[in-house]
Amino acid sequence: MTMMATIVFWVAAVVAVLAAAAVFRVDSMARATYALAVSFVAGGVAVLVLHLDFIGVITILMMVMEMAVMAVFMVSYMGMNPALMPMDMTHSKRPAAVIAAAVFVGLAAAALLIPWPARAGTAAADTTRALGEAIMSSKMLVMLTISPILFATIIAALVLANPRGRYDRLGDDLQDAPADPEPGGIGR
Amino acid sequence: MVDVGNAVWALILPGVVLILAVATASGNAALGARDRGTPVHAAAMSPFRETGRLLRQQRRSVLGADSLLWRIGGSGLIVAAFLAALAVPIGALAPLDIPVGVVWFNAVDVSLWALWWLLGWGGNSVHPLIGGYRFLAQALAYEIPLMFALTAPAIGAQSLRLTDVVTAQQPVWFALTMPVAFIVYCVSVTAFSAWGPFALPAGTDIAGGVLGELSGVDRLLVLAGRWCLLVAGAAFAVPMFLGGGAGPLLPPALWVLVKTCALLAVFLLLGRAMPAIRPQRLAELGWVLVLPLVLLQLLITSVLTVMGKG
Amino acid sequence: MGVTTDPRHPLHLLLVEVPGNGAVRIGVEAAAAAAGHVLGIHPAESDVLLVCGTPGPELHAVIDRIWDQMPYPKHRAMLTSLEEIGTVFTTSQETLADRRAQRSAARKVAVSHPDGQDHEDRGPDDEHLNHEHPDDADDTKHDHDHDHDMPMGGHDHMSMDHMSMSGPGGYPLADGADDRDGLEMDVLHRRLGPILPVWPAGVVLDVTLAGDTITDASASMVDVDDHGRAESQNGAASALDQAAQVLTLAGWGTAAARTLRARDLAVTGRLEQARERLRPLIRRIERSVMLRWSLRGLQVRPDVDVRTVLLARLGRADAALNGRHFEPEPATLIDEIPALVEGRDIGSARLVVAALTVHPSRRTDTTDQAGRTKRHQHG
Repeated sequence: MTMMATIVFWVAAVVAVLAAAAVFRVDSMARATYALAVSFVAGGVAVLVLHLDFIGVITILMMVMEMAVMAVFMVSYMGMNPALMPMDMTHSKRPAAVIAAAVFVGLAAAALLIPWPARAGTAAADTTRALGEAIMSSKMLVMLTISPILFATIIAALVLANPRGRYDRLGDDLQDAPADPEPGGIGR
Repeated sequence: MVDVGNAVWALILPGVVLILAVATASGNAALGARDRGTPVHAAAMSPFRETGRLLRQQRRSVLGADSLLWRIGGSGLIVAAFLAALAVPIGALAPLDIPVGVVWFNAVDVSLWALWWLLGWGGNSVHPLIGGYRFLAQALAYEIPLMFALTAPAIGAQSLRLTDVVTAQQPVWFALTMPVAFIVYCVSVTAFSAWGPFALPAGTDIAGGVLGELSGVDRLLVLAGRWCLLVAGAAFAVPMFLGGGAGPLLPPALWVLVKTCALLAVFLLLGRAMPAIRPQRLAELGWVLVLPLVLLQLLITSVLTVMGKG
Repeated sequence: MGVTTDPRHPLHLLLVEVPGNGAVRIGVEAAAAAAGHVLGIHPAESDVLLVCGTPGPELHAVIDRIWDQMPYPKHRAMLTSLEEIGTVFTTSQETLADRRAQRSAARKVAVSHPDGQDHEDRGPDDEHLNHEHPDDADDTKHDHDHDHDMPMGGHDHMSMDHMSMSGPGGYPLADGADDRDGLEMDVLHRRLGPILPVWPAGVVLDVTLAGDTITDASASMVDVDDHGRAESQNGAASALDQAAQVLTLAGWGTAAARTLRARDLAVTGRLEQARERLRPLIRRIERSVMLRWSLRGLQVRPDVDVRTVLLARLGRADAALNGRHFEPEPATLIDEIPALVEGRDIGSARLVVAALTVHPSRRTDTTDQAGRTKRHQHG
């Protein structure tokens, strides 16, 4: 990697770790969420350094959106509980520390001690495409069709989860005007 | 040579965006003065005077406000606008010519959810909080259609790189071949800038909404950020839907500017002509009406692209 | 009116209308528009606090709170008649331009937290604020007392010891209660008015908010004992003013601006021009499909919704300008307001209140014990 890329990678790595640690140190849920967002964005930047442009930018996009939504939910659901006050977010401290240390040692050993093969040939022109084909190969079409199905499933689940159904809204014979606490824009 | 040009352009881009934002704000003030009957030329100079006044004004804070997050939300709007505008190719110059330019813009407009919410929530005050949540209610309605609308030109050009999208519009602009996507994009730009019919996050009925508790330089950053977002959105529409720098006579850079200004004028005039939409009315509209239309548009575009290819 | 002010430095005016001074307020707005000044909607963005009329004691206390919340440079003025307007504008500009005096005044103001004040003295914002000083930055460490406790709706929290812990800034955290969807949300107690942009003068609406939905409301007027007769106003001007209020809250800046322009023309006696401008405006507002869609579902009286009220006001103004007879708008008593706003979100509630003409008279003797108790709590 070039000098610039190396520097960016190391900065992103340090930021990611520090921000992740900050998640457990700050006192407010909103700050914890956005510290996590910073950590994820730094991770996305590290992926960008590897020339995986699409995956890097999509990671940043998804993580920022998720953290924005999560902040809203965190503040909503932890309202009465001291969401904005000093709190301790760690549980089972001793077992967690042991497991964390063990996983760190294991992953570090794997990263440093495994004899990674040297690159044979040159990098593909479109690394994202090459990565996709390497991971999914013949199942690519399946993955493409699954995503709209997932989208439809999420929407269907939301519709099913609504406590008020058609009969609550439109009366027993589905003939009345819709009785919603807040009328929608179309008037269905 | 091109790299130096790119670097220079990246440095002066914030200035260009600010100039266009000031011009748009000035035009808006002039139109407002014409409607109201106040002196028009004085109103046209109002962005400059307001900047001076706000810089001289004392800043405020609110007890219990999360100042760090509040100010990040406030100053982040203008930064997001600059980042979005960075990806726009100006003729041969493209400071951010990444292979995924379309997704870059999408990532920036997603970050606006976080920024507007921080701006509303951070101030520990009820009216800005309501304003921030009104923005989220609007965003829920426009975001998914926007994401799909952004993929339509990418499908048409079979690439996520903006320069490819520009070259794919050589015969016909995408605004004509994919009109639904273009309209959804334009509506979303006005929505994420909280302008025109979508201005209720900063509405008078909640005492200024997210702008409420701000004064001094904080207020200036948010006001400037809103206008810069509108400019960045209009600028990004040029490579995506309006053919980039293509056009007779003038150099491409000038064409980009002309098209951006034309789209800004359209935003200004149409935005002023309509009453504000209450955010709770938008959800049903966005999901039941607009989203199927956008998906249909994508289907048509995909079929046409495949047919055109083989 | 012969107002000549320096157009290079427009003022941002925060107008406070004392009940009964509507004509003065409209005149000030017309003069401000002619001089190129801007009307502010929040103390944070305003330079000049301009009180139209002589405020009673309660309103005076609220005005002092608002004054505290305005950032420097600022100026405060009061006027009771329109002849003083030129002087007020000139004095304001001179005061604002005097930077040294403003800066020294800003430094003299300590961290302002009026302690021990009852929560009736609040304006649109009831959070404290710290003006940032160039010298000391850690004023936030001040100890604030909790006299501004919000009534917690009868919730007995003495038994829960963790409730004694305070939230950020020294405020206790909000209670929770179920909202209309069955979700538990924070309960916020809020006072709307008496000083709020586009709000009937002197009306105070204490609301309980779950999110932005009003779950409970009670209405009163400030300085209820001081109200005299409602002043006789220029019929066209007041009808146009009220119509512009609805349009501003509906977010239609262009239509509101044009209505205000017609109002200013009516106020300054240029009736022919007002007539000319009003007719196309009424047509445009009537034909607007977006306005009809946007204002759907806001009932003010059994058969009347906000849009009907808006069109009626415009029609009334047209009739007044053309010398035809018109029926004044039926007034609403203060006590009827809570029933109209409960269950609505704040935006809809503001539109509904703007579509009312609130009767400024004092309570009659028939409002008995309940009326008097209410007055005691809020007055």
